[in-house]
Amino acid sequence: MEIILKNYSFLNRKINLTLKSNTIIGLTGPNKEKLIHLLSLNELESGTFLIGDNKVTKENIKVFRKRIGLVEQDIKRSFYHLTVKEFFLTEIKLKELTFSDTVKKLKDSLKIVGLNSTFLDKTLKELSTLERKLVLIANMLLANPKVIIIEEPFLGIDLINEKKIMRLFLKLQEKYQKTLLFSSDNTEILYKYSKEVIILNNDGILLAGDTSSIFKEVEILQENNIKVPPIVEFTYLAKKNKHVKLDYHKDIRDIIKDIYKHV
Amino acid sequence: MEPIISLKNLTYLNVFNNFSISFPKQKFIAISGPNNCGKTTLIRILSGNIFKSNALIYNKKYLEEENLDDYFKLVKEIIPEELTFFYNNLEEESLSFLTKENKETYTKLLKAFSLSKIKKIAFKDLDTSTLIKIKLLLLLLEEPKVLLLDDVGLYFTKEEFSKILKTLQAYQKEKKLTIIMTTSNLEETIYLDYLYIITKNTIFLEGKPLEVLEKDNILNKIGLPLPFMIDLSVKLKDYDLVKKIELDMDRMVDELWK
Repeated sequence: MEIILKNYSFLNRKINLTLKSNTIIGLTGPNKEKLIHLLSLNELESGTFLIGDNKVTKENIKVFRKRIGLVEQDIKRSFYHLTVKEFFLTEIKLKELTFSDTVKKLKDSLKIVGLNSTFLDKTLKELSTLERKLVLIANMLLANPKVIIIEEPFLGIDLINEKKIMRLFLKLQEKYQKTLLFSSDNTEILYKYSKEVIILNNDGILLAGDTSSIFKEVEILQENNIKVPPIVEFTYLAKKNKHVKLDYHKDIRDIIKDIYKHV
Repeated sequence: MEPIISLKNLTYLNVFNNFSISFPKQKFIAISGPNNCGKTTLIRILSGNIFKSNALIYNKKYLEEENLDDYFKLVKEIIPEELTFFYNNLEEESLSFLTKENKETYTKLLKAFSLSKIKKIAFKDLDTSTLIKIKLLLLLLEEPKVLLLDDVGLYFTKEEFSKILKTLQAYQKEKKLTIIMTTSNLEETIYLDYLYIITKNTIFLEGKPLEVLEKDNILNKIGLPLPFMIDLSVKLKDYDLVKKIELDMDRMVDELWK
């Protein structure tokens, strides 16, 4: 489902922004938490907020809030004493969700992320970094949101589990037509996985559009203290310092082959 | 090198079975490994919070349950999930044991960790990264023999944590401290003294960080991503395009196209 902001207030400015449906979009730069707060419909600012064809208003904001799911970077410390089941029930109460068989729903949600039902009785404090991330994803899935915002999707996650989680995200995007917004300081992750990207600076939106094109704007990004993915930075430096025209690659093995051809 | 702490034939739940590892004195040591390999459990065992008899050797002696209180004075840990404070604010907590000697260190560390502005704010209102910095400051003032850190880098930006690591390295050398830090990010290990890569119940690789990180195929196989410049250097070395690991991108470009 598409989200469109028209002349919407953000950082004392009016912004226009489209999050296309069925797409993985990256988000980085300062104030990304503020944009996430706004996109999660915690409050309504002046301007137009469209979800699909529907305009969000004070009257219907609660309904649309359920269509946007947020996976925070980690579970808040104040929840650590809760069991996974209690954590899920808190979300259900907060979002006013109803299920014919709640326990089955909780077990199903855990199963989707690859955890078995014994996790329901574990306290959040007992869980590893990976397990906490999976529980957060399962928690978000309870409301079956149309748009999913994920903060630092792979921070502290090894490559094998990154691939497993990414397979789940791709399934949500491709099979269930969800829009996914990956928010991260790690631009390597955004360059690798997102089709479009939004780069923020202190004034609002610095750049937005096709990921591969945006990250080629190395000078603009560096002027704004945005970390350029190293594989892009290397290609840029080869061209700038030595006039060597390497192609922009996403996989290190491809850039190695390209370097080999050019030395 | 003489170890300060060793684990010998440790068996614990289904995480460790006859597992042994040693940590040399006065070094900054990193432990990395894939998710669920037991990094946090290892820190809990080394801290004494999980006690196993006949398993942990500190300064050549097995740690016994009756010596735990003394051990807790020598070995301090930060496990972010377990951070607790009993006081209200930094001034109140820290001043109670500040002496003339460590007041200077306190001021220096406050500045290095960018904490001076928040010292009167209640702990409950702070985020995890600030809490970690405060806890770190307070633990360093106690001058333990061993400091254990469990993947604290996760809570900071790369730049912020790199600054903290530099401060810690300087402090570790000055005070002859042993630091054992788990991490999921191999980039954090590059400038440290020693690196262990553990997988379930096994020391998979060990040695000086750059020598360990050169084994890219093995590390990739267990799911550990290499820092870009190391990955690039190692692969270019395989093609005989460079002679050594180069961490600086400008220098690498110069080296390739002289």
